[in-house]
Formats: sequence, C-alpha cells, structure tokens
Amino acid sequence: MGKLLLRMLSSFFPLLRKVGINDQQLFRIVEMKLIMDSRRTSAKFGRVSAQPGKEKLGSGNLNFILLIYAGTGFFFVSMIISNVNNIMLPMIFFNSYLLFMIAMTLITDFSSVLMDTADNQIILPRPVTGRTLFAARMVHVFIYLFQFGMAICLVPVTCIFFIYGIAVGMACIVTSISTILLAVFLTYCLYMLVLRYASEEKLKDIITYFQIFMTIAFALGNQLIPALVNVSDTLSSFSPGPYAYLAPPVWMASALEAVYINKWDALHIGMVLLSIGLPPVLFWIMNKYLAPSFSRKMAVLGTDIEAGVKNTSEVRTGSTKSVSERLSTRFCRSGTEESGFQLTWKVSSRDKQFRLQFYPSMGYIFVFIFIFMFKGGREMDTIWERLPETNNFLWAVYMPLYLLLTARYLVSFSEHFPSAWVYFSAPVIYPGQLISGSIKAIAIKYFAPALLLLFVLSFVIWGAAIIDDFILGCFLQFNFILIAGEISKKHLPFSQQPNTQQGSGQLIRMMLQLVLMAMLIGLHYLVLRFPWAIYCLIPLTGLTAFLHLRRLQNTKWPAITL
Amino acid sequence: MNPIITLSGLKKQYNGLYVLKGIDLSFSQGEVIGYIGPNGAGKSTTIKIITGIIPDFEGEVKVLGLNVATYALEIKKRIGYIPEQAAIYEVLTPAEYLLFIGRLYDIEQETIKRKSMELLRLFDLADKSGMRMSGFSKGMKQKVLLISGLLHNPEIIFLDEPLSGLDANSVILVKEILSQLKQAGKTIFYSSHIMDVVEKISDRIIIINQGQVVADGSFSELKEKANLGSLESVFTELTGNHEHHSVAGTFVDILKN
Repeated sequence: MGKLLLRMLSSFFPLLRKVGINDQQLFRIVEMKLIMDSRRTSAKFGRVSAQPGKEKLGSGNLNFILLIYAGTGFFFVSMIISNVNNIMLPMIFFNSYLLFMIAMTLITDFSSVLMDTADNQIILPRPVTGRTLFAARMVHVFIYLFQFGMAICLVPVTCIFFIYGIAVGMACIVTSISTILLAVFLTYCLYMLVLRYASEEKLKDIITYFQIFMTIAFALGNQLIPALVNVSDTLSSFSPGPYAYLAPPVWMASALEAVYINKWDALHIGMVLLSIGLPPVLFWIMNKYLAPSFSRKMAVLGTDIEAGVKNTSEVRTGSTKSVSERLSTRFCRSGTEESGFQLTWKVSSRDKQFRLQFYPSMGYIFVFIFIFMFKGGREMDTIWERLPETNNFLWAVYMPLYLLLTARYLVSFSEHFPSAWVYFSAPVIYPGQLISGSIKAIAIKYFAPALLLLFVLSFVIWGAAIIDDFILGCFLQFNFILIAGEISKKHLPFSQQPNTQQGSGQLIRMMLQLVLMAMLIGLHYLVLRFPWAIYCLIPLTGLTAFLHLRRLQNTKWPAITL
Repeated sequence: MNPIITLSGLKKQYNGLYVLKGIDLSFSQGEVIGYIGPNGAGKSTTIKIITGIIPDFEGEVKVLGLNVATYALEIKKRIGYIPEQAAIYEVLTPAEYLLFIGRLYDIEQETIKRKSMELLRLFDLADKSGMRMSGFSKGMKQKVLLISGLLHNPEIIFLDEPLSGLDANSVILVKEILSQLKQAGKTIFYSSHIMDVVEKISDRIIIINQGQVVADGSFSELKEKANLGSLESVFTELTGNHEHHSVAGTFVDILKN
C-alpha cells in the first residue's frame, strides 16, 4: 500500500523541482525507507526468541491500526443520516475530527521521524540537499498519515456518496484530502516556525515542550469547535457563528454545502478557495522559508561536536550519587534490578526518540481529565459547582496509568538497540529483574509525580474521602501494568530497533488504553457502592501487586522475547 | 599546480566553545594526507565541514576550486566520504544499500549492480550480498561502507578510520587500494589513530590538537623536527601526552584494589 501511494504521489514530484527538490532522489529515499519500515531487527546475540516468528512487526500491525481508525468513522454515520437536510453540521464535526486525528498522529507518532538524525551520516555526505532530505521525511510521514486519513474517511465518505450523491461524494474526497494536507502542513509549519528561533542545542528540549503544548492546543481546539458553531437545541436551526469561519473544518463543510445546494455566492466561493488553496500555500511557505534553516540545524544534530560539547556540562564526579542511584538502592532488590532502574531513568531523560514519543502523553492526561470531568453539555461553572457531588475524581485516579503503559511500551525501543549486548555478556540469571527495575523507574519518575499532583488537586475538590480510593487505584494500576507485562512480550529495556511502523500506532494505542482505563474506572465505581469493600481490596490488591512483581523478578531467559 | 582543497581561517564553534580555532591548510591533487590528533581534537569536524555535511562555520573552504558554502552539492558529487562509525541501514542487504547509494549519485542501475557485485566479491562478500547487514560483523559493514564511498569513482576521498574492525587481510587490501588510488591521481584525506598505517601511506602528515594544527609535513620532516624515531613518539610529543606509562600503571593498580 505504501509503495502504491508513493507511486501515485510521485506523479506530483516533478512540481517540487521548482522549490529546489530533486524528485528522483526524493523517490529513492522514500522507497528505501518504506522497505526498511517493513523490516526490523532486535538485539538477540545468538539467543533464541521466546516467541519465534512473532518478533517482526510487519504489515499486520499497520493493518490493525488502520482497522481501528476505520472503525472510528462509524461514529459519524448516525450524525450524517439524522441531518440529511443540513450537510454543514456533520461535516464540520467530521472534518474537525479528521484534522485533529491527523495532527495528533503526526505529533505523537511521527515527530521522531521528522527529527531523525540517523540519516545525517548516511545521506547528507551524498549529493542530496537538506531540502530534498526534509521533503523525503515529509513524504514518508505523509504516506502513513494519508492511509490513516483514508481509513477514517472510508465509512463517512461512503455514507455521503449514498445519501448526497456522487458529486458531493467526490467533493467530500477532495475536502478530506485537503483536510489531511492542511493538518500535515499546518503542524509542520508550526513546528518549524518555533524551531527557526531555537538554537541547535535547545532544539531537542524545545520540541518536547512544544509537543506537549500542541497536544493540549489541538485537543482543546477539537473540543472548542462545537462551541464555536453554535449548535442549538434543534439541529435543523443550526448556523455557524461569526468566528466559526476562521476554523478550517467550517471551510470544508461550506465547500461541500456549495456543491450540495449548488450555491455559489461570494462566501461559498471563498470557502472553496480557502479549503483547496491553503494547503499548497502552506507547503510553499514551508519549503521556501522554513525548511532551509531547519535542515541546517538538523545537519548539526547528532554530530560528534554537538555531543562532545554538550557532555561537558554533564560531568559528575564519582563521589556524589545521582537521584537515580539513590532511588535504585532504596527500591531495588538486586544489582540487576538497580541496573534496569538506572538505565531506564537516565536514558528516558536523554534519549531523543523516547522523549519525542513520550512527552506528548503528559499533555494528553491533563487534556483527557479536563474533557471527561467537564463533559455533559452544561455550563462550565455549573459543572464546577457540582463537581464535589460526582465521582469524577476516578479519572484523576486512573489517568496516570496511561503514562505507565506508554512509557513501559516505549522503553523497549532504542536507536542504540545493539548496545543491549551487555545484558547477554553480563552474568544475569534473572533478566526479569531488568524489566522490573525498568518498571519501577517509570513508576517513580513519571507515574508517581502525576498521581501525586492529581491527588492534591482532587483533595482540594473532594476532600479526604478520596484518599482510600487513590490507594486502591494505585495498587490496581500496579497490578494492571504487571499483569500486562506478564501476558505481553517481555522485551528488555532499549533492546528493540524502532521503526516508523512501530511508532505509528501510538495514538490509536492510547485510545485503546483509554477504553481499558474506563473499564477499571467502571470497576472502581461499582466498589464505591460498598464502602467496606474498598478496605478489603486495598490489602488484597497490594498483596497481588507484590506477588506479580516477585513473579516478574524471577523471570528467566527462556521467557524473554528477544 | 592549483590546490585541490584550501582551508582559510577555518573556525567552528558550538555552544560558544570553539572546536576548531582557525585552520589554514591547502592540499594538492594526488597527495595522501594523514590527518591525526587525539579524541576531540577536531578531526571529524574538519572533515565534515570540507565534505559539506556541516554547513555553518567561519572562514573559507574551497574544494576542487568551489566554495563549500555555496557549492556543497557539486562538491559532494565529486568526493567520497567514509565515516568513522559504520553508519549504514542495517535492515538492508549490501546489494540494496549500494543500489540506493549509487542511485543518489545518479549512476545507472546496471552499472551499480555490476560494480557492486565485483567489489563485494573482492571483499569476500559476494555470497552475502542478499543478506541483511544487521547480522554482519563490524568489519563486514565497514567493507560495505568503503564500497559505498568509492562506488562513484570520486576525485577526492575522505576516510575517517577506514580500517576500523577490518581483518588483517582486508587491512592489507585496503592499504593496497589506497596506494593504487593515489597512483591514479586521487587525493586521499586519511584520518586515523593507527599511527603506523598513517606513517606508511601518507605523503604528508598533519597533527591537530585542541582545534589547531600543531604539525604539518612529511613523516621524515616531522621525525627530524621532533628528533624522535616513530610517528607515535612525534604524536605524543606534539600533543603533550607524556603520561601514558604512569596512567597505565595507575589503571592496573585500581583494578587490583
């Protein structure tokens, strides 16, 4: 599918010559990247995998992700069917969703591809311009995003064809592609605009903070659009508010309305021009003004001078113990576990790929808590007043699990995966302790501070009554992560090679995790009906968490997935 | 004869710290230049600037009469660069990788395939041309890297530790290849820590320390100047590292305790 899309896209490549991109090289680089995406290796060092044949992440994973994306399209079917006379409303919602999903997938799953410096040593010494390499990275990402976008569109667009006819259906395909392009170019432009004013040494730090900001901005923006368009009680009386015309989904919906009702006044023509014209304009601005400085900065990243100079500020004398060293001594039961703990603690702060993929999730948890707590269609101040009467604190209890699950998944991968040879050369009897040490590091470094912060906020709103719920929630989440660790593949920390396909499921994985969290919350909600049960469950779940941890610590080599 | 490479007042700073502090050098066609220095001296940075990989620097660098700041792409077409680390797409096979690299230079597919196979055969890798490189040894990857840097028959060749990880036979073969490339009029810029190889193959040796050139001349000139017997002694003298013996002694003492 990726190769087919590349071939289709390549017919437009000659147009790129005008902005200084070598279309032939562009094609070859992307083609090679797609080949590499379908292959993956991990550090095995002669050992046999616990799950032979399952270690390759091929097209099956991508197909599954596409299926989930396609499934989300069903949400819009009833909206389209129940608003046959008003195409605007369902199309505003649909295009908002499409824009949000594509932009968020790009930020969450593909930022690491944009910031990939592995190519610098291989491709930059060849006669390839930074612009061509940047365009190759963009096309590479776009091929995946386009597939996701098409998957989301599949059901709603088919529905549009049946209900509104071929002309509107065709127009819907065009506006959907335009929305996908807009999401990609807008996000890239924002990225590069910020990076334009950042020095090389600050680039990596800035991008991680920017990701958190973008995550929150896009997620809240997606929530704001319904408010902007003035959805009244009767959907038939719907009309866009004056500021709504600033939002791209409204342009797309207006363009479709123009085709549907055959209305070509100044407003509708303007909307059609904006919806089709803005993506190429953004692309031109990006390539002409933003890409060159970005490429220059990327060329320096990952070079020895950068590493050499940066490391000078991180010199630590042997006499002082770092935070991770002190914590690992306190929380780990063996030297092996301490190693897993310290490696995860330190690498997770310094590894660019890990940070690029993990940091947005910190933004997500606060966005989702906000969305879930303040849902219900009432005024914000009414919800706020009635909040202490609700059980919405359960979202605060369980949302940190998302951090735990995401970090647990990501610590398996590293660009420096061959370095995992040390696990095999060292006299490690229980490699499970490397994993348990790694989980402890994640729990203390990311999960505990998030839980504590949410506890303090919840304490202010709900009072002391929630203390036992937080304790139970904490134990339940530990059980969850340890059981998940037992039944899924047991990868050693930073031992697997990352690739684009592996990274591409991040957002959808998050959505599935939200469903799991909702199930845990549902269970906890049931427990709330029987106040005595919570006091029985706290020691019980504490004990089972301890037993699961022991089981993981005693895992031997044959059970490890290499 | 016009110099093939000239560096005038070359400086490079990063984060306010100068890693190159003003380098003035020029090289003629057909010269084999040994470029040596301790870790962090600025060797790789110099090479990356000359080859157009690092675009931001102070001073002027001309390669083949072209300014690197303006004509990096033209220069890259006519030079070959073999980096220190085996930077390679390991999930590809040698044949796939060389085809990919060759096409970036616009070489015809058939030519790449033919030349690749012949060169792989010389390095005893022909039977592995269809195997993914993730399972290759460091030396095998280095051989593929070497081929990828020379496939387009460059006029100037930059080698950063080219013998790293190679077996004894391959080292002899590479030294012989370099010698024949020199005879064919190629300019070779050779950076290495292996002093005896630099000593044997270089017409001219440049020693760089803390971002500055501390010595420049043929091996016999340097030897005469420093009044020492081997390049290793000259290097030690000029870079100011005289404590190897005592450091080694302390190292072993620490292990004992």
